Amino acid sequence: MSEPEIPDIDELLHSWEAETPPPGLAQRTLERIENPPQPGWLERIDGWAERIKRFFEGPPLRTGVLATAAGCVLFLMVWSPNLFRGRAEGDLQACKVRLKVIATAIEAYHDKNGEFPTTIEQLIPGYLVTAKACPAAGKDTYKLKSQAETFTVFCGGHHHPQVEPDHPQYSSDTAAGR
Amino acid sequence: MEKTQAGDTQALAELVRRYEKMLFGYAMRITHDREMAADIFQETFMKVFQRRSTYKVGSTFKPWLYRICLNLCRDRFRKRSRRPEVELNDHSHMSDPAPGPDEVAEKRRRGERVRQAIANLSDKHREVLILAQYQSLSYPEISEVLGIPVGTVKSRVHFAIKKLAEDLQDLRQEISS
Repeated sequence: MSEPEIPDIDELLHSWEAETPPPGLAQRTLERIENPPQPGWLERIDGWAERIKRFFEGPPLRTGVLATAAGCVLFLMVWSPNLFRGRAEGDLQACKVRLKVIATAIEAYHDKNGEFPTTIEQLIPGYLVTAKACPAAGKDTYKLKSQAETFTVFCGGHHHPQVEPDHPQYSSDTAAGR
Repeated sequence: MEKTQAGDTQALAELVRRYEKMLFGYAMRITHDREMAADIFQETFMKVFQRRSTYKVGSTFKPWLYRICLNLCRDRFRKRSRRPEVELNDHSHMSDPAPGPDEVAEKRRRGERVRQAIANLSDKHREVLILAQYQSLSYPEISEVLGIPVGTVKSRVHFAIKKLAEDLQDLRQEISS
């Protein structure tokens, strides 16, 4: 595509003449380069404001990436402690439920045999289908202490930061999970 | 420019003098403000000096220089739009309003009409037209200054001249008669 053929437009456009520079402009420029003026605090603030503004006026992708990153950081800051706390709480509750299942099996064993088992393995397969795994530990951690008339079943070790080691427990005395 | 990069201040002085008229004229056409144009001219060369290490040896100096100058002009317009100080179309300070001999006055009148017609173009068309028509930059050079493809430069020049030809139809008729 070339310039349109309008013969008089060039001449007409050049009737807008260039302004001549003020006298000594080149010399003053060189002096300013040699002794640059120090920006005042107002100019510095203005400069930073301009840079920030230009950044956000930049390509939409840049702003999008920044907004997404800020959103992710915000989400993690707000939700990650709750997520971890929520998971630990869930593990403890599930562990208590499993202890109760084991305790029910122990009582059933007692009803049938007139005594408590000495190990949890004695409950399988008649009273428990399989060994239970603590959800926090990811393995079978359940231990049983039994006497003639009482028993305590508990999660051995320290897999739940909210409770003491060897807890939670389910005891025939309290008949409740602690 | 290579000598300036090496820290030769004489070479820098040579560059400033060589481009004084051309670059001031350019800043003046963009800003329509003598004081601002002089300031932009000075700042352009300060930036040239500060950024001399980023200049790629072997590349053409002119587009690089014009790009710095144009960015400074745009910055000024942005700032001026935030803190209006001078009315954009106030040109009372520009040239001597006293009428001279008829021919000079007539030329000045035409020049003012052309300036107004160019000022009415959109920024993108005005920038391209001024570089092509008044600064005599080639299309590839303009493409480098503005960071747009050569084809876009051509189409914008074409559009701008066509628009001006329409807007200045009465003046064109005056000249041809």
